[in-house]
Amino acid sequence: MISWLLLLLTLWCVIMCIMPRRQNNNGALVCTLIILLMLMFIPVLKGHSAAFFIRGVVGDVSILTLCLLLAGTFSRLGLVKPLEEKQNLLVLVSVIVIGIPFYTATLGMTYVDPYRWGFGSMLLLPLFVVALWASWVRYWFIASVVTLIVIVWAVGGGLESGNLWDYLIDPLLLVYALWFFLLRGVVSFWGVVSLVRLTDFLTIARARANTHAYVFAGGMAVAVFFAFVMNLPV
Amino acid sequence: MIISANSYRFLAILTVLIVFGFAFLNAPQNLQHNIRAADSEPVLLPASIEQRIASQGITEMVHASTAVELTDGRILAAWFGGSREGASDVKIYGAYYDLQTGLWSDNFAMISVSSTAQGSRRFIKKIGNPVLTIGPDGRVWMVYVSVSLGGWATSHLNLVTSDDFGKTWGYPKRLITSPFWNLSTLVKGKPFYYDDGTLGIPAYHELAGKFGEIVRLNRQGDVVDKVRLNKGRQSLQPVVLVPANNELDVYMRYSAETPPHRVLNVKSLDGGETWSEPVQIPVNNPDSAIAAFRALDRSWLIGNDSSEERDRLALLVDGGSGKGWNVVHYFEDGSAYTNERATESEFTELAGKGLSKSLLHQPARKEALFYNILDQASQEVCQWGRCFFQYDYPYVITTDDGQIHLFFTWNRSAIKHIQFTNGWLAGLLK
Repeated sequence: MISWLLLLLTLWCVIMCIMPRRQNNNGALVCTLIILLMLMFIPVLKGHSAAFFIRGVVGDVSILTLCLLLAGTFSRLGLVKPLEEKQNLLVLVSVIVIGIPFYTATLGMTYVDPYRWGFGSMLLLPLFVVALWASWVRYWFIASVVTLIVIVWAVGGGLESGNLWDYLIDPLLLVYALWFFLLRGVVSFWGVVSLVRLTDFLTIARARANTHAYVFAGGMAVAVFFAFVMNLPV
Repeated sequence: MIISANSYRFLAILTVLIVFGFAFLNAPQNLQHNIRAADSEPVLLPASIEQRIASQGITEMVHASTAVELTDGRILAAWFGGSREGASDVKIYGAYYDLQTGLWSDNFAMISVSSTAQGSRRFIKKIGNPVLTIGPDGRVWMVYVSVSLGGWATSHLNLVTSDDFGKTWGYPKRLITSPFWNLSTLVKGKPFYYDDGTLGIPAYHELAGKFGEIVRLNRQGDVVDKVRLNKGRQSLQPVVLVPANNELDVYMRYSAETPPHRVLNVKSLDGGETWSEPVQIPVNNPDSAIAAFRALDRSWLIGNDSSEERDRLALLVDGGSGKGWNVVHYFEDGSAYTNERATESEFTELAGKGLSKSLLHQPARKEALFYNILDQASQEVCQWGRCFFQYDYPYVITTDDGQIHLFFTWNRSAIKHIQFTNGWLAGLLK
């Protein structure tokens, strides 16, 4: 049940983050919730709802992904300030730096299986250092998310998995992070080509903010494409 | 009251300290890797070997049998069957074998694609290999493979339990064993116990890499550890033997393209915490599953001792002290037709003889099933008038009475059961 509620929340946040900013009003909120309920309960193929398929393929998203989505959603609703650029970049860079070697190793490229560390307390120490450091430098988002991840894992009532890695990172987040930087590179490149002054930080920031919304859509499209490729007969 | 920025900072640090302190105290304790070897067999039983058919020809195809001895003196066997491997009509079927009467019960469906989908509340495309065991809680446990998207390489594991010896099963619990959308963990080998009561499930991964693993479950069926046996893209379907206390001997199917095609072996001397580099033992393996057991203080392997075909099923014994492996018996042998495929009449004659022998113990079943199974076998393994023989996916259990029970897929259409004693094995060593 918790897993389904998490999925509902995740889907709602994804839709809220993808929707253009001007649509963010109470009407849009109600609409997205109705769409979500339809997605959750109306059978679309072979008697199964879309949520049934999504759960079949990706399972639970990590707590970090959920927190990023919530931060995006709440900022779009005007409830909180947008996530500070520095922290956002730090999180996404960390996801790439940790995620690529992590998934490579877990797919069998090395004798060491880092996924095993997540079953015990081995990952707690580095996360503890990160949380302390983030609190000290007042990166409140990072500090609170890392603490939340650890408490949800320790209580053991959150995700289907009992492995701390699954609370910390998931492949969709890695795909999103890669897509984000790819798009950012394209935007910067386009900025140079069109002779936009690089010093005009605000212009570029606005461009990033606009593209940010489509990053999710792109990431999801890549994931769906990947899923369909995997569906080919093996 | 104005709270300074530093106060927020120290409040945050205090929260971090409390939360992590709680997490450290609640984190799973380091698992002990202690495993006790089975006691030596007390008596040498009279030499005997009997064969039967456990399946009933309900489905065109059957595969991947498993079995467990129940506390009421029966064996519960399970396998998957359907119109073809991977079809949506595939179900996991079961049957009981009475050790006293030597009779197999009628087959019954235990798990289906839809029961797995409804129970786990997610889309399931197909189900596959099951493995039965008596769980740490005394109930019958079944770990089985399911796929939502793609081929077998994208499988997940499910755990179901039964309070009534396998007649009915609870909702499947999805075992999360991989961080990559929980893709690619499969089972085939017989589970074993650690001294602390946790259950070791021999498993394997086959997405991108192909390697063996041991998934460890606690009493509640939660995954508490996963140990990688090797890396790379060459091994599948580990089977675990415990020749001495804390000594694990694992044999794996060789699944790489590059020759030589030989069974892989890894060892652990510390209860499975660390593993040796994989080595190939001098036993051919055509990318097919093997089974292993301990008897007469020796290790025994059952598999297809050919580098290409699955048309003969050999029993091999470890000579000990590096003397290598020797074939001591062929349970099935269709290798005369490896190069020149058998004609349909040759197949019917040869397979029919074997089948007839296997159905002797249940005359009523012989009457009803003989032509049905033979017909299904020829449909499975014959093409354009030529047929091959296939005997694969062996699974072995030893019952409390000291008998050894071998189960395997017979020409893709039946689950054959061969029961023999250590006395019969001793005769093979003379």
